[in-house]
Amino acid sequence: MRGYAISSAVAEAPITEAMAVALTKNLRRLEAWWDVELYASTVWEHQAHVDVKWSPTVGDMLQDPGYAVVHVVDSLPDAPQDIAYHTVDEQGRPVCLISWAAVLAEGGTLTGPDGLTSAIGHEILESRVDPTCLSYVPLPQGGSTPLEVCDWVQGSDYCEPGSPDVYVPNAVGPMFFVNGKFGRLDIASDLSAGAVTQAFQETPGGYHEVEAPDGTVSNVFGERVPEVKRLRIDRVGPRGGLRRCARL
Amino acid sequence: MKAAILGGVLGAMASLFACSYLDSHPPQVCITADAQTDAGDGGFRSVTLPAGWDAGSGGR
Repeated sequence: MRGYAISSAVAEAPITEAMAVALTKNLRRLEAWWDVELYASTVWEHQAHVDVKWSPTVGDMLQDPGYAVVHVVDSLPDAPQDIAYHTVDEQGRPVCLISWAAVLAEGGTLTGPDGLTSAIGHEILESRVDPTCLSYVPLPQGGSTPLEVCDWVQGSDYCEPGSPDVYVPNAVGPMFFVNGKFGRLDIASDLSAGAVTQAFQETPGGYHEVEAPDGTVSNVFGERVPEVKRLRIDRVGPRGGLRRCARL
Repeated sequence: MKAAILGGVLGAMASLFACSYLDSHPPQVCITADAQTDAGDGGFRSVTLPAGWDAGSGGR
């Protein structure tokens, strides 16, 4: 895979150049934090940087099998309450569908905090670090959690330099998942005070899944996660909400 | 010889005209702040950030 192709099928929610540029900066920042791990990714062909393509034309979808499709739709046909959906098409490439209706239902706008651009970026960043959705990390108290780089710091969207008023998702770096680490651990800390200062710290708007040693699965929410989002995540799980893959 | 001189004069005039024209009609390229997008793949465009764009230190 060589990159992402962002497009929209929704006339009220077209992809703009400002969105594409902000998302590319957001991706480059994540890549700087995760560079060693990304070099090792066979899915992404050991590339330190991958391309971002975008189309302003509503209804476009890139056919190049070398690009992961990131497509905005009115609503997800088989999961109308979800914000996004990550699956694989018949060509074997990742396909991420983002629901404009669900973004609106949770109070989001095109480019504001917790909006459509942030949802698109969330999908891109998490699939960049863990494209197969198969990676888990051990938790300090036992058990494990999926390697989700955005969920823990949800609600701390930020704007990239030169891209004002276009909010993109914050994400944690690799040291966030090392017990005992503290200091700058999230990518937004490049630009201002970080949203978290110690490993495995969840923001008030964050959430994560816990798989206990006995195999039971539960979700842990920050105190400011809106009820509508909490219900959605409890219903479909963090990976069902913003990524959906089969765990092989 | 006359043709060569005439050609040189006309070339210089054309160059001056082009510079003047470009001053008043800048090329229409898609540039947003510090980034550029180029058309390609049908309606799809690629985002290119300048080589020196600061992606941060990666937490180091």
